[in-house]
Amino acid sequence: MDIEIRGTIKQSDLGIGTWTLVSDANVTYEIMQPADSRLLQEGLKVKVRGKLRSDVMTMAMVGQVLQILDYSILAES
Amino acid sequence: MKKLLAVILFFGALFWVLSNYAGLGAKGEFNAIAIELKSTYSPDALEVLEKIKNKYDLEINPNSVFSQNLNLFTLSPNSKCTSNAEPTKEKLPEGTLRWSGCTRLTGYSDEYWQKILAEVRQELGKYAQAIEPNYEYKLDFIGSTRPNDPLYSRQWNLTNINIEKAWEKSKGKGVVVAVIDTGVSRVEDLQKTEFVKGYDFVNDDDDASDDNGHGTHVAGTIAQSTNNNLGVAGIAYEAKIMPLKVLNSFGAGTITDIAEAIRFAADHGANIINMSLGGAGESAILKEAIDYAYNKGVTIIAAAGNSNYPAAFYPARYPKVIGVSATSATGEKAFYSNYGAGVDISAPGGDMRGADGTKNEAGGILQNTINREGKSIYASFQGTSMASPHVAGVAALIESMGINKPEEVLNVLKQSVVKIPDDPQNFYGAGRIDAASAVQLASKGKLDFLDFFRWLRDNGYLSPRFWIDGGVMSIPLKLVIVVGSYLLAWLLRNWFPFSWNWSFTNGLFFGGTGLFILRGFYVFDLPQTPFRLLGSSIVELGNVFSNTNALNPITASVLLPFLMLIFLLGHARWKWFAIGSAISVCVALTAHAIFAPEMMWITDVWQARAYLGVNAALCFGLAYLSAKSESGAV
Repeated sequence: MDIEIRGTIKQSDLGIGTWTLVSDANVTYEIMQPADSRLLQEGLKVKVRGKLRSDVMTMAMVGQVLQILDYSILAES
Repeated sequence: MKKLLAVILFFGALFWVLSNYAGLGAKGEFNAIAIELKSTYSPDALEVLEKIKNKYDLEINPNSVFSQNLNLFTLSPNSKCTSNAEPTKEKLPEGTLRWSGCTRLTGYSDEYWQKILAEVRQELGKYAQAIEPNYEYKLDFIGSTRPNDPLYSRQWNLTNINIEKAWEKSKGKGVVVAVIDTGVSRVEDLQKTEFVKGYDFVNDDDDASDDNGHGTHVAGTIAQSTNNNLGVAGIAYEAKIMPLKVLNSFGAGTITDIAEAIRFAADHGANIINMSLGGAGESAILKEAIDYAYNKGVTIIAAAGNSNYPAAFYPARYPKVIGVSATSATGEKAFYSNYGAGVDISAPGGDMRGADGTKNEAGGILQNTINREGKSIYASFQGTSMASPHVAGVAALIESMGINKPEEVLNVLKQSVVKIPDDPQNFYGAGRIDAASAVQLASKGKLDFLDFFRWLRDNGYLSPRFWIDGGVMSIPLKLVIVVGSYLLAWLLRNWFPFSWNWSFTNGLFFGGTGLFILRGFYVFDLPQTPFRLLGSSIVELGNVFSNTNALNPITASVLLPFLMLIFLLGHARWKWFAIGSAISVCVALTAHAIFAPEMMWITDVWQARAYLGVNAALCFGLAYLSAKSESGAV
């Protein structure tokens, strides 16, 4: 099921570190890699279309895993 | 003839023992030189000392704070380090290692020390009373087990779990720990650790090397080569590691690979599985694999997750998996750690938040791993990923002592923790892990299986969807309050006949007890605060949002009943609610004063009792007066 989320890109430094999308409703999603490096910038405001991958587990464990299908940048940090 | 045989045997045995006993002198490892200068030494002596220090990159220390007057100094390796020291194997004279970012030498060879010692004797002899190698006595011999790994002093997490005392009894020998992770690379400080064959489920081959750095770090916590004069220590360093790679270089992997790895571990002789990984989604495939391994006698441990969420992630959340939450160096729940339902025990995971947003490396868990380029580094990480292998390591120490059923291992782990008396939100599970008392308990051996089930049931771990933690509320206290409230109300009614109505009964109930069962009610994924709020009596309202059962002096007082009476006295029905509340608050405060006088801000028990007692008396006066004035109207 595809979902659409608006939020901010943030780096998490737990364990080795990972990229997350913190939605405007303050829910943290872990961005599934590999993802477009243009998207992975601290503080970037974005709107993404993606898929929640409940079949994937990670070492970061900071939230649900989000596979990004499409995105648009709303504002630079 | 028999006698002759006995004599031969005796001397043979004696010879064998002596030839195997190396003696104290033969263990002559020394890592420093002790120098005692003559009481009238010339200042030249210090210059010579300084010269030798610089030549061999050593540091001079007075032996202890008491040594200065005795002119006693030690020359030891320079130990100034910046964070993340990397061994670069830069060749120093005669094959010693130096770490970049860390000026400490990992230790000179014996011959090299002998050379330095000779030079010190030659140069400094005339100024000195004595110059001696500062022997580090083999610790097993004297009864301590402090390892000689140079960075061990930075592993607060190991001191935290009382590891040295545990090593006296067990080092994990004979136990196989499967590390289901990003793979494990045999970095320099895992060279002396034993490995068994693993598998790479990501690339489907036999080489389960790490291409991320996470799995190697986790394996280090479990079984880093220890007492090898290099790097850091690990918990069960005589256990064997089975590397199973299921997470790719980005640290993510599929449930099917993880499930396969669990089955592989169970089929290839693993005793323990550590999974420093997780996700929010439940999966039948994963659950079946866990049941399979559990039924084969494998103890399964997993990290609770790092989103500060009130339930553990999967797989930690499955009943047959030991879910581990993380604590910081101070022993508090780490800011990121998940908690609540599914957390069985807590262990050090670190907290690297420094002042003003900086990174505080010292607060993390330090192990040897690889960097992005695959080079060996010593790095500090934080996370429940780091907490889980502490439990896996201690489980290995326990299993090594002959306790092999997963339910028994869990029982030992849980019963040997440092208990947290006040943990209503289940931050810590059974408590903080303690390696020394775990092996102590394991050495007692006998554990009653029925005891374990009774224990499980009593602590509410048996239901998979919700559970009630009986430890959170004191049921006898609540019963005393309920019965006391009704008795007091009955007494008052004897004096002033009033009708016993619905509002009055509710007032009695909510004032002193509330729906107290809800306070200890946990549902997976739901925040616990609403339940605590619903489950709170008036007296307890002030501690709903804090993780404690200590009473808040503002709500545990006459204040709220007084305000309620002022505002509700004009209302025909609700005034009875207010009167009922005043009565039960009075009883609740009295009961707390007698049985449970824990309060916020008032730490002295007798002061707390006095405070509660005075307020109880005021509540009684309030109830008495209002019941008296109102009873005529009914």
